[in-house]
This record gives sequence, C-alpha cells and structure tokens, in this order.
Amino acid sequence: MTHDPFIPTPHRIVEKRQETLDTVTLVVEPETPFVFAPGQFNMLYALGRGEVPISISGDPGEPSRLVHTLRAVGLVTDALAALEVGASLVVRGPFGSSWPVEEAKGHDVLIVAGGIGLAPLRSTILHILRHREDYGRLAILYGARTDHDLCFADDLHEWGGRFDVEVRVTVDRGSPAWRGRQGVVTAVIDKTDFDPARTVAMVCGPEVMMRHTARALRAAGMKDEQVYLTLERNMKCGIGQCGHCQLGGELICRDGPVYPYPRVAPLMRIREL
Amino acid sequence: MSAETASKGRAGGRELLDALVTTLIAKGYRVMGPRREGAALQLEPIDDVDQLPWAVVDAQGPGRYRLEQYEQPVAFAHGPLAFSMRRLVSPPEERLVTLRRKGAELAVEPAAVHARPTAVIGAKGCDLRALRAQDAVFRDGAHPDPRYVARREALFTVAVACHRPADTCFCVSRGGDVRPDPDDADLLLTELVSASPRYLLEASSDRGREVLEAMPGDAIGEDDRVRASGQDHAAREAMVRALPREAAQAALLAAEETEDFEAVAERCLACQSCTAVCPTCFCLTVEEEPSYDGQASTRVRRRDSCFSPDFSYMHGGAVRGSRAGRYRHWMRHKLATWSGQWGLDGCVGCGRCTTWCPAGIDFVAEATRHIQRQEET
Repeated sequence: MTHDPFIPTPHRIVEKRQETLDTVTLVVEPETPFVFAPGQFNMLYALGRGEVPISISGDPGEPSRLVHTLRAVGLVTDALAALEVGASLVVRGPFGSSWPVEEAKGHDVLIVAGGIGLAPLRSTILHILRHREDYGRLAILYGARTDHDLCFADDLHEWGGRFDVEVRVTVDRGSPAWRGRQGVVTAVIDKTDFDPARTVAMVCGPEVMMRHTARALRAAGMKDEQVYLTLERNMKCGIGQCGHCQLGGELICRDGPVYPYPRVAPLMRIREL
Repeated sequence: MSAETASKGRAGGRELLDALVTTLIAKGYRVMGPRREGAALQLEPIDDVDQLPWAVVDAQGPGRYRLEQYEQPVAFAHGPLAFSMRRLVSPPEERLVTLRRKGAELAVEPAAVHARPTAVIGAKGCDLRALRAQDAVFRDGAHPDPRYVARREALFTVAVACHRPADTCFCVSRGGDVRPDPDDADLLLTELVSASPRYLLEASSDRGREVLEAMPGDAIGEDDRVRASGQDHAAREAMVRALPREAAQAALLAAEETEDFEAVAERCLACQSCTAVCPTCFCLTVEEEPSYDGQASTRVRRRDSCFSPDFSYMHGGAVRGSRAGRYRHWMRHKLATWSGQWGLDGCVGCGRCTTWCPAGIDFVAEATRHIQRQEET
C-alpha cells in the first residue's frame, strides 16, 4: 500500500532547553536518521489538541538528532512546550522547500532573523559552518523584542566568538541590565560589512519585519532576487491537500515555506490574501 | 461474444439499463444513481431502474431548486444532482489515526482504509472533470492519500451525455461538454429521448468492456449515432450561460483588493453551502476526538471551508477576517489561482454554487461583473 502521509512517528525526547520564558528546544533521537534540508518543517502533534507546523532548528549534517524550537502561543504549542524529557514527540515530515544553500555556495551569506525566526535559520547556519569553505563571509543579524526574548543565546555567543562569522544582536527594548545594541534589526544592516553584489540574504521573522528588511537590503544595493524568506500560515496537512496555507496561488506548505522574495513580494502587499 | 463486438457498444430500450444494473450488481458493485430523495435528486444506491427519476426534471436558478414533471419518460433529463461524486472518493468525515498513551510513550494506531466497489450510473461530464481535479490533489502529487487512491480505484463510472442542461449550467464555456470525455469514465451512456427512449452504451476502459461483454443488446447503428449527435448539438445550443476561462482568470487575478468584493460580501452569509456542493472543492481540516479519560485521541479528517474565519487562523487572529476577503479567496481560487496550483481548472461549470446559495448569489453574474470591469479599464 502507498505510504500514508498522515501517519506520524513518535520519538522519545532526550533533551529539553528553555530558550526563553515561552520558547523551548526539544531534541529527539530518531531510530533511523532523519534526513532533511535546512528550512524544512515538520508537523508536531500534541495528544488531543492537534498538530502545528514547526521548523527544524537542528543541524542537517547530524540526522541522528532531530531538533525543534517552538514558542508557546496557543493550544497545541502550549502542550508541546510542556513536554519533558522521556515523553513522546509525535512527528510527521519533513515538508516544504529549503533555504538556497546550494545556490549560495561561493557567495557571502547574510542571515537576518527576528525572534523565533532564528529557528529555521539555525539549521542553515549550522550547515554553512559545517561546510565553511564553500561559502564567503557569513553575517548573522538577529533582533528580538527584549533581551529576555533572545533565543539560542549559547549559539550566538559561540558564533560571535569565531573569527569567520560576524554576529550582530539587537533588541527593540532592552532591560535595565542590557548593555548591547538597541533598535530594530534593519538598522544594523548598513553597519554590516558585506558586498551586495555577491551576497545571498536569508530572512525570517514577522512579515512586517521581513518587508522592512527586504527594503533595507535593496537600499544597501542588493537585488530582490538575492533575498529569500520563509512564510507561515495555518496548516493542517503539510502536503498541499488541506488548502489552509494558501497565499494567493501559493500553497505555502508545498511551494514554500522558503521563497525567493520576488515570487511572494506582490502577494505580501495584499491585505487579507 | 467477442471483445470486438463489445467494443462496438450496445443499444436497446429500457431493458438495456436493467441489464446494466444487474450486471454491475453481479460483478460486486454497489450501484448508485440519481434518485428522488424528498425534494431533490440525489446520488443514492439503486438496485432497480424503476428507482431512477423517470419523467422528473429539476428547475435550477440562483437560490432555487424545484422538481417538475417532464414531458418525456426519460431518466436523465435532470441537471447536476445536489451533491456530486466527491463524497464517494473524499467523504465528509473519516478517521485517520488514533494515538494512545502507553506509559511515557504514545502508540500510533492507523485507521483501516475502506473502499467499497461502487458504480455510479449517470455521472455527468462536469462531475467527471471535477474528479480529475480531486485526483490532482489527492492522487497525483508527491504524497498520494492511500484512502483516496483506494476509493478512486473502487469507483466505476457510467457517464451520461446531458440532453437537457439546467439553466445554471455553463460547462461548455469551462472547456467541458454535454458529452463527457470517454477517458474520464468506464462506460458512456446516451439516452435518446422519445416516448420510448433508446439507450446506447459504449466502453472506454477495460473494466467497462468487461461489463459490456457480459450484457445482451443490439449493436449501435448509424442512425443511433446521428440522433445522438443531433441531441448533443441541441443541448450545447440550449446552454446559454458562459464564463469564459481566460477572461475570468485575467479579471480575477486583477481583482486583488477586498474592496472589489465588498458588495457581494454584503449578501454572502458565509454559510459554506457553495463549498459543500462544489465538486472540485477539496479543503480539509483534521480534528481531535479525545477519549473521556484523556489517554487517547482519534484524528478525524473533515471537510473544511474557506468561508470559515477559523480556516486561516494563526496565533493572533484570522488572516482573512472579513467576509469580503473570504469571498475573494473562494472566487479567485476557483477561477484564477487553481490552474497554477494543479495544472487544471478549478471550476467545471456545474452551477451548484449558484443553485444552492441561500442568498441567491449568482457566481457567473458576479464573475462577469469582474470581467466587464476589467474590459472597461
């Protein structure tokens, strides 16, 4: 019989990290290697509550560990974020398109992320670091609402300590203890050293942040074709059959979630599309 | 009888239909056909041709459906049935899987796939083309749905050529025809209308030929074909409604703003009747049915409709919060964006959305308004 795309697989949670007050990273070790491309997502299930699409935040070069980072913002994600080590994480996937890590070979890579938006880009960063010689300069620009909302703080410290990565972190509104940069992430773009002619930008964050970032990148001399971003919508299947994730003619779970910016820019401008 | 003779088809009176039903039942099929159920014609199980709607026709219009007496004693003078064949391949509700707590782990129990061999007599060209649309979504993509695939293979179709389109029909303008494409069906039936109707039956699949070979009947004559062709021509002429594909697609692609749909949204009740009767609509949701003790939950796939505000819900609210936004999505999906998604058309021109709209919104008239505005600019 045909493989049933609606049947999930449970995996035992082996590690849990609290990233922020409402954001956790869950690690499972699948029995067979879980092969995925950076930027792809899985449908994660909470018993009696349902499924949600969650990006894979782990290293594609380490398929024995499957890593997701999620924020508790609703019925399903609240339950997922409450799972502890030893519990089952129920997974279907991987689904969707991936970041252009092949096309970006030989280019500088500019990562621009907002909040939990660093999760799908973390898998790309780890991929690039694993194949560091294939890429030019790597800059990671990361913004969060406050310093308490910074995800992957350990990673950011490690990446920032390397000589071959430029990391710039900024928060919209710092706590009294914050001594770092304050302001929106788009403001640090022109402080970053990159050659617009040979750079690929990968952007993930709230839609308004991505629109502003695309505009700032254009102002910095990049063409829209060099910019990629990832979109989010309600999803019930992950395989283009439920119709929920449509944005105009795009089925985001099947055609996306990662898109070249010019393909979705006109759609992102239309209200309620 | 030889396969060669069988491939030439069968002709006969009402007894040919009798033989068809008997043969299909003998081959193990549940036979379904148009049947009067209350105030409408529905696709229902039949075991006797007497159950077909003899001398009954439907009068369809925007928000209007009535059954009337027909002057000829024929069974297939009606327009599209209230529901299409979609529910046979994609039921309104079905169980997918149950997850059960076993200590710290969750056990996965897939639901059994049921596919009952079913033969539909009187499948219309529009509904057969709509099955192509369903096939594209559930069978021909990267992730075929095994439930759909099994039910689709178990479905045997006897197409019928329409000789009296309903007033709401516009299939010809959508690239369809009153005579179904034989490739879409196993058998093709022609009802030659008269006081004593004559039936022609031709096979277009191996399964169809097997059924035909097991049936008695005369050969189809040249005069039969001439009559059928004349009847087809008259039926095409009778279909006055049209919604040209390219013009509608261009106009709806240009109609991007919700403002363009505010007038129709004033009338639209967002009741989801149109999406319930549309034969190409495929949208689904998956819902939980937890056990009382909270130790297990069954995931149930149900029909969903883009007219529900929940359909586009993400944390923070619905993407398409306004009815105008939802109406725009439905109409643009059917007429403009579908072909890019699936490589075929999202509207087959059956007119059900117009007939079954309680507010009487005429889909063709609304889309035509967009075409006219596009032509003016």
